[in-house]
Amino acid sequence: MPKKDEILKIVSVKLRRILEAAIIDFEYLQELRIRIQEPFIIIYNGEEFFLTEQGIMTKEAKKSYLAASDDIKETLEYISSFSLYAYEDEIRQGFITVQGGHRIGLAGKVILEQGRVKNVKNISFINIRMSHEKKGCGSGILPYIYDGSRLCHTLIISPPGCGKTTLLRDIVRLISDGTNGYKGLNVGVVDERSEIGACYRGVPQNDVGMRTDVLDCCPKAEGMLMMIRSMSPAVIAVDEIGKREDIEALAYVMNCGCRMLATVHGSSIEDIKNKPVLRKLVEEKLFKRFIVLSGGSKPGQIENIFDERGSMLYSRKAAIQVPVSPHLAAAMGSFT
Amino acid sequence: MVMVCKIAGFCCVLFASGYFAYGLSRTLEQRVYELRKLYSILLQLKSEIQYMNSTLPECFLKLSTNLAEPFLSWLKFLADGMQQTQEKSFCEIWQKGLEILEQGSALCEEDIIPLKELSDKLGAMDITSQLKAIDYVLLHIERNRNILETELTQKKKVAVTLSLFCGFMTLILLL
Repeated sequence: MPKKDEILKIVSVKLRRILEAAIIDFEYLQELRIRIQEPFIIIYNGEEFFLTEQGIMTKEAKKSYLAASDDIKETLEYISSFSLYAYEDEIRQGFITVQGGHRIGLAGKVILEQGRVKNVKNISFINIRMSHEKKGCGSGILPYIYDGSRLCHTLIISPPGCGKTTLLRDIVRLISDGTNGYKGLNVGVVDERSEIGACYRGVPQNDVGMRTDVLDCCPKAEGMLMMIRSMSPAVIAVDEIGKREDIEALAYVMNCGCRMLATVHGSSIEDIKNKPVLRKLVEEKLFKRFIVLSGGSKPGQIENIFDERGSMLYSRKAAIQVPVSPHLAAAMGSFT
Repeated sequence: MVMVCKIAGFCCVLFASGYFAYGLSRTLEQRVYELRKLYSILLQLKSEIQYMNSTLPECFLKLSTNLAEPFLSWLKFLADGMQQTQEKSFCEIWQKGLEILEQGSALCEEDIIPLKELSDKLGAMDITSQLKAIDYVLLHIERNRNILETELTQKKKVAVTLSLFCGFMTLILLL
């Protein structure tokens, strides 16, 4: 289904008419923001615009169409297929993934039970973020994370919003499909927040490769062990590790002979070393490769790649590239 | 010839009253059957929500596969209406669906009223609330069915007696 239809299908009929009247290419549409009695905002090609009732894109907020509570209610009904209860777990996390892998962020009044979020009611704020896959963004990294024909345990370190999940997804796809002399491997993805595969009714909406199995909305620690037991993957990929039980499960997976791909929030290896739970990853040399993404204005830019001893294999600033395998030579120049 | 016509008329009136009596008792039996079926549909809906966490259109489509009329059209209408996303709220789709069910079935208004109350509860809340709302309707349906089953024999007898009595009265008047 084209992206335009995927989006129009889930917004209220009023907003649908406005979007249809607007002269926009849905491929460049990044976000829709709907707030009760506030201007209808879109992020288009990196810029924020207000949409008038006639579908005209403007920079003047006062001309914008003000979203009504009915727009929110109707949009919610369409997003959840008239079944908000079926998305209780997702709503508790603050978002729902819809067909096409688009992510719907929701905010309203939180209901607590014993100090934990039970549900969200009176939802008055909706943020629709379009899914954008960056196919090929991981191809230059492959030679660095392979040691000969053997994949290394790899940790992607990046501040939030800098493209670590996008990079992980593409690496998973490339490893799964096999590319440039690398044999395709069975990959198990434990997708706790539905960010990697963006599954809709069990089907990954993002391309994660032909040999990839996705365990959707499953806690990482439990999911990794389930994957090992049930799908015998050669590689396991998880996003945003951080809890103690994640680290324990990860060590278990590595001892089972599986290769591990993971991401973590941070800005450098030193940053990871300073976190009590994550320190073990670096000190015990569990990971053999560390990919650090830059937190600058350009998301997805690779800053450094290190090995387990801390030796720099690649640096964007110094443009150091030390080949560690025959494949690496081929990658020279990929990032420059 | 006159006698033959009179006998024929006599037979026709008796046949009509008998058929009417049969129709009435059949409607009563049909209502019991449909209440039983509705009860089972709601139980299945409950388990689909509770264990499968399916959305309502999925539930209705799945439930409709093994059912006959009038429930087939009702559930198909609900599933289709919800998949179209065309400026119709769940409440409107549900109310319209109940109209279809009422027209095509032997169910009475008192059987439909508890279902109408689901229009602002189904789909909108958490699973526990969904299940409680369905339980409430199940209670009503079971109560209606029990009352009907208890009175069924008596009601059927009354229907047959009254119909035949009306037939005989008509004959007496015509004679």
